[in-house]
Amino acid sequence: MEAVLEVKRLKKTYQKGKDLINAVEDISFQIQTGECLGLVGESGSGKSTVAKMIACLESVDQGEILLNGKAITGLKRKAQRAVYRDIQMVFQMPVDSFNPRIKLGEGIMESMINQGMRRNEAQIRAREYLEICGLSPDFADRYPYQVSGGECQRASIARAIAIQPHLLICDEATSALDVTVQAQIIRLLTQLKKEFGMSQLMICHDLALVQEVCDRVLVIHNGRVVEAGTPDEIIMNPREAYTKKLIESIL
Amino acid sequence: MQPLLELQNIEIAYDGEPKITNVSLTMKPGEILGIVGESGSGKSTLIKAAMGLLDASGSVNRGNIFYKGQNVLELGDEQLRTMRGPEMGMIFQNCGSALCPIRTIGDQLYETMEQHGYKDREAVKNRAESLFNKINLNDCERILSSYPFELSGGMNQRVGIVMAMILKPDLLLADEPTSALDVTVQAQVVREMMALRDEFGTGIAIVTHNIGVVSHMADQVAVMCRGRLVEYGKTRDVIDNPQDAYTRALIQAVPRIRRR
Repeated sequence: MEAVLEVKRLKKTYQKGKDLINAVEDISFQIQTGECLGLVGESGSGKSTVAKMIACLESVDQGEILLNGKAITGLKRKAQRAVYRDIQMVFQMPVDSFNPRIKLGEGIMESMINQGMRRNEAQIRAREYLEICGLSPDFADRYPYQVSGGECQRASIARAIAIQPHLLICDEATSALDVTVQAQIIRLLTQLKKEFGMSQLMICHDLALVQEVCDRVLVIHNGRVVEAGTPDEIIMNPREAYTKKLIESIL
Repeated sequence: MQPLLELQNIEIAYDGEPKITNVSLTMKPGEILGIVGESGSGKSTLIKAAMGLLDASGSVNRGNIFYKGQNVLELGDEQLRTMRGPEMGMIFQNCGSALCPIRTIGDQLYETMEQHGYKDREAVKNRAESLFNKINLNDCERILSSYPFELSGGMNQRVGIVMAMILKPDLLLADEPTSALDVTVQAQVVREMMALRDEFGTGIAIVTHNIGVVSHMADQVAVMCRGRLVEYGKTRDVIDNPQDAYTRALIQAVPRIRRR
């Protein structure tokens, strides 16, 4: 198996007033082709910062990120666009991640057109991908505020997978949704992994969910990886005090 | 024993359209009731109605709501206002937006407490500090001197939780109190709510979609679906042996952790 993504000694510091906040201290990991890797940890642990750095939405202070063996850190704006072709992200708040003034279909077409596809072809593809994600094709003609949170999250997954990225990053993609809708979205993500061999990075604080969908999981605490392994290993046999606390907190 | 809260066949409508039909619930003093269901099922509306907090477009069309034998629907605004706090406390899903943005947390805490007769600021502060510490907010001085925007969402949420708990209400209504919190903090808040019940006999109605929280803390569970009560009974009975198809679907949708 080959690593789609390799993250080496990543570091990120934010300035807040006079204080420096070390969001990410030292994080390294790999994601293999077709693998789903989970990142767990509480808010402020640095998981989302890592995701944003991988998606080129945040600059990297130190360290390196390799996509299919090529460095994507420190790229110029134009070169970053090529990265979006291979890495797509699904965010926690689906409705906020669409432009409210354009229809869902247009939003999904945008990324395909940016990658050089002709408009009418993109239009057909957008409808196809809505269907893959369990929505009827006429959702393309609706605005984000006209659909429910779960429907909108499906549309944002359709947008992310329409250009068939190598890596899909889901940052708490189901935590704003009802449990029944969450179960549907998770089924969809698992199906995508199987059908398209898509690698996934899943940021999540729900360990039970991680156990259901991830092949491997990293526990992040204060910007460092404190424990790594398969979900079963970590949940049934946690070594670090922080991991134990996280597991004990599950009610 | 007189029930703490009793909802009798209530129907609640928004803009004239019934959203909740024929719901009856009874809570004994010191009882914890979990209300579960999907968004839009009417869970929050129920507890808002119990506190007389429905907004202008909502109204209780049928049925009665009794708090300690008093019909809440017949009480005036002024009576409800004095009851809210020491009698009935409420924790909202997003407490940050219930705080005044241009005054410090301390100011708002002291004012609330003074309104209800607690004039000794030192005593209020000590009590607040011990509550803050129990839910992992360790710098009480900083919290009290901060404005809401200087704190994180999770911190503001815990401020709201402390403000509701500090008056030791007989009935605590909590609307998704821990949804915005991390699992570790969530566990602490749940422990603290249960301690409040054990120490002061507070009855708690908690609205949540987290079945784990409900099965951990609730004595009774009410399952809401599209404005109707589809199942209601002892927590163990409902969770382990759900009778209604919707309840079963809801419980099945929750990923359960395998520990062995």
